[in-house]
Amino acid sequence: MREEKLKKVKAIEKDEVDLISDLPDVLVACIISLLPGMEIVRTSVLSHRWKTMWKYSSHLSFDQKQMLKSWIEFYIQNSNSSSRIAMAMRRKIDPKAEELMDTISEAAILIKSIMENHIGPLKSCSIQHLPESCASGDAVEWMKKLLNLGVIKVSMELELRYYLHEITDSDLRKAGRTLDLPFEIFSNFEIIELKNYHFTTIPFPNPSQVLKTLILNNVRIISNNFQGILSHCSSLEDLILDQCKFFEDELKIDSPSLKYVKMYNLNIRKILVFAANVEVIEIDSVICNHKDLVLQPPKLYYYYYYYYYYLYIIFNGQSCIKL
Amino acid sequence: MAAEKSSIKIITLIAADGSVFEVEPNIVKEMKTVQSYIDELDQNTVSIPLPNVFGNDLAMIIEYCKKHASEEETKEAKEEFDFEFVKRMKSDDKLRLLQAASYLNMESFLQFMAKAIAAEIENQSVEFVRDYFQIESDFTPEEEAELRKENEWAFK
Repeated sequence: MREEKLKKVKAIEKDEVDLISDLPDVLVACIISLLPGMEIVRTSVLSHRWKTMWKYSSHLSFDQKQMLKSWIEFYIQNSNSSSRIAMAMRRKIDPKAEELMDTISEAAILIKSIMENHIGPLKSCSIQHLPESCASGDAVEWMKKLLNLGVIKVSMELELRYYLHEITDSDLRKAGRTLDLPFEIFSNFEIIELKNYHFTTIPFPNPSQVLKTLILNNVRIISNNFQGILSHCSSLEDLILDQCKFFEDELKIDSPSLKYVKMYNLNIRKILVFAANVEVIEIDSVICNHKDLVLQPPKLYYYYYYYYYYLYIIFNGQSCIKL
Repeated sequence: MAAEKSSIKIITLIAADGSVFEVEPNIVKEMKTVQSYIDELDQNTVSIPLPNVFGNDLAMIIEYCKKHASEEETKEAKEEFDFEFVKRMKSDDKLRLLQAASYLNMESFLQFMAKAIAAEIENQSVEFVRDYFQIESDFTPEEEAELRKENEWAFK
């Protein structure tokens, strides 16, 4: 015992204490939470101690196409995209039917099971997925699962690069892009990021609202209730809209909790911002008829957006004003 | 009480190897472990032993805190400093500083170090990461192959 103590003292003197192999689990989890994509899972083969360490990560990131990479690539190349979406739509109605299972649905199940088996606590999750998982309802199921796990931030992105544009049937194409979101999604996460979707939802009042930040990128809100969504998101502070489309080409933003609005790359007939507590509006590359762009939040610090950003207003498609 | 606290002019930090650092109170603000000492003690001068942090590491942490506590420095200058700060460190230094940050309960410095470490092992082979953390593999080749197969979807 004494000897051990001596040894320790000596080691300190020599500045040689092996702190590294004693790296506590919380610090290991802290490091691997910052690894990108599925790289955290690869730490499982390091040693017995590390085998399950990744399950404590506070962040998970999935790329559906990468998950069963060779099989999915082969499957996509050797099957028809329309029939895959059609099958995925049937799977939404009958999720247990074995004849409707394919490699893409296997990857979807894998994502779900990893979430279920994660020890966490999981704080944030990002998922990049294929259109089939929109059509099959898996994408919404994942979000619901993440809600139950108490996740704070969710980022969802639909993989658009590949084949959705080749599909000629508009119903199939729609199914491959559309999320039918239960409104709980908008009330129980703190940060939501959606990319490349069309979505609908039916808002209802929820006293335990926590959503603070909503980021929509290349999103089309199909239903005519975007203003309704905003007014029921009673804790929403930051709204970021990039390349979005709205019902009847009209965007109305009126929410008492909003503090920050960013509008990028929009081409909209009419924009009305009345939000009483908005302090900063950032605008870039917005095309809107001059008289139909109404920004009237009483607390706005105009200074910010003059200084950092340019506002382009094109009216009658000709003249361009830079403010 | 508040007035007495603000009367503390200098805080003395004593590292594991006995080296002594005298710093202003605003420098240790992020060190919650140190801060709780200060809050407990009700004196004009405070001397705090930090038996889990070596002098060299403490010097670096103080340098970092000084830069970040400064109101004169721009955000860009701080970022530039962070970049250089990480660049001149070896991997052992980073791991030791991470431990020190954890012991001193410095939230943002801990995240900063964890990020620097994660960036180093990102996209590296299993062998590299083992070497980095000085991990002895205690798997048999069969066990490792089995694990790789089980998590095949995560390996390229």
